[in-house]
Amino acid sequence: MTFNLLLEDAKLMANLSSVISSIVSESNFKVSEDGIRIKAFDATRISMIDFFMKKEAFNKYEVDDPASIGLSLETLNSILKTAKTTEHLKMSLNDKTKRFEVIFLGKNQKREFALSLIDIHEEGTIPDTIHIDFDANFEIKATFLQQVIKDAEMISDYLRVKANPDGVTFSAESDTKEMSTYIEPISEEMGTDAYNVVDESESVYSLDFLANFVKGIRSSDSVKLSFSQEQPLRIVYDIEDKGHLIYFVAPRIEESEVIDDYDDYESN
Amino acid sequence: MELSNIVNLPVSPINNLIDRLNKAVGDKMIIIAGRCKAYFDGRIKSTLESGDRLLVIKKDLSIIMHGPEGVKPLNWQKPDAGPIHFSEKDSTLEMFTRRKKTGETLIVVFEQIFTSILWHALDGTEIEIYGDESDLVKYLVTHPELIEEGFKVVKTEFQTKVGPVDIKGRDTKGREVIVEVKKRNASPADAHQLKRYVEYFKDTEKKIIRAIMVAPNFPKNVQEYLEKNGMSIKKVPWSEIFPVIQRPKSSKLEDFFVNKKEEKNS
Repeated sequence: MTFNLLLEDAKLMANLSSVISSIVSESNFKVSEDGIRIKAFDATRISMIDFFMKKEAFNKYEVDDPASIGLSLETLNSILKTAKTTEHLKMSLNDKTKRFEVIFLGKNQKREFALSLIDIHEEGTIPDTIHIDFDANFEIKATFLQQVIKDAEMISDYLRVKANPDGVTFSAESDTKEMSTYIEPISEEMGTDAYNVVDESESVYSLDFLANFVKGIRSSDSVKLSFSQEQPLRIVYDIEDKGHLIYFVAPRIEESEVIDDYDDYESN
Repeated sequence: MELSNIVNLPVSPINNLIDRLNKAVGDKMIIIAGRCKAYFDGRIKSTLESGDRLLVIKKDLSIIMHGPEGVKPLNWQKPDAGPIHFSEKDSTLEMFTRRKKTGETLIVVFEQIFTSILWHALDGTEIEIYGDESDLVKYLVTHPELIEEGFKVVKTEFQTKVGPVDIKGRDTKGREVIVEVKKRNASPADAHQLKRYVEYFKDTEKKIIRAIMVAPNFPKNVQEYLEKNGMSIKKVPWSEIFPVIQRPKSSKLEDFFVNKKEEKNS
């Protein structure tokens, strides 16, 4: 066995897998000495997921050789979805069969699954996601953000985010309707992390991409949002102190073609 | 040149002019060069002061008004936004339109008409949909059922030695599929290209993969060729779908990371 991991909170892995697999359907799953990682672009390369779970999060973490295995995250997710709260999760790589094994350990019972590995070629290097400076940073409750997205989905297929030192505005508009939500730093929905908006920043993001990620976050938790004017949005979900799930979405850029200016000039 | 396609209307008597213009609305392209004012009564009430303008009303009732300078029109209206009507007001020509959706009105009052043209303008080419092939690919990624029921997209712009594959994915049976996306009707050249991709995978990667071509339409010979060679076709009417997609376009994440790295290095 190249690696053998045990996580008592099987449901946690199931929830994380649900979010990750909705963004990336197949990816390399890296198991190293310090933890497990999935870092991949989605099919359109407009968004990216960076998932890391440290070895300390696991109840048992045995890694003989660091491994990078290609897995169908969709298949893995459908297996992990079956996890019961009473079950513990064991994940390992079987040297002989070269298959990824997922075992649910219950009281006096065991459910086993095995997946073939997939060959996945990684194109280019996926950048370092943590050490980037953003002009706008704030922490917000997942429920609040989930509601903003739901409201915006009724109006349009993209969300405009505008932050300045006084507060943040989330808005969406179409030919015939519009919505806008404003929140101040002292609001209860804002997290305890410092509200840090250095410069007025405004950017637009596709709702499809935001919804995929945000909908899977546990409502009671918070996420840290960071962005700069017309730059990618970073959403950081800290998994207690066990690791992180980071999501990046590229902005939608207004084109300078004449046609687009028409939409700005008057209502249509 | 068929001169009968275009007619220069006499500017007076004004009633005749108005009559012919009203008959031409929705039927011919109307071009008026003159000095006019415009009054827009909408979310923002605005007046465009007197000046030399070119007013174009197309067969689909889209309106463009240009001034003597610049590329951007001074005023415009989307096709079929509302009825257009010409009338006389104090011996001058007035054009009136009201937008059905919002009730906003636009009134153009001509103080002087230099020329008024009716043009039976024809366009033989197919409708050019806005956007390029990467927009269509992005749309298919979020609506994979348009390619095939249960289709799962794995990668877009998949690079191979024989060129880039638009979409690589899996069907419900778990088989690998490549999809070629065309904005215009499929051509024999497109079909040959797809066959080359299939052969590439067979020869170099020893894989039998499925191939699907997506296009608005397939000429008979192209469809026959594709099907004879074991490839599938899927008709997707882009011109019906595309107006629904909102601009602006999404950029790629990689564009930003490259810049950031350069910033860090500088």
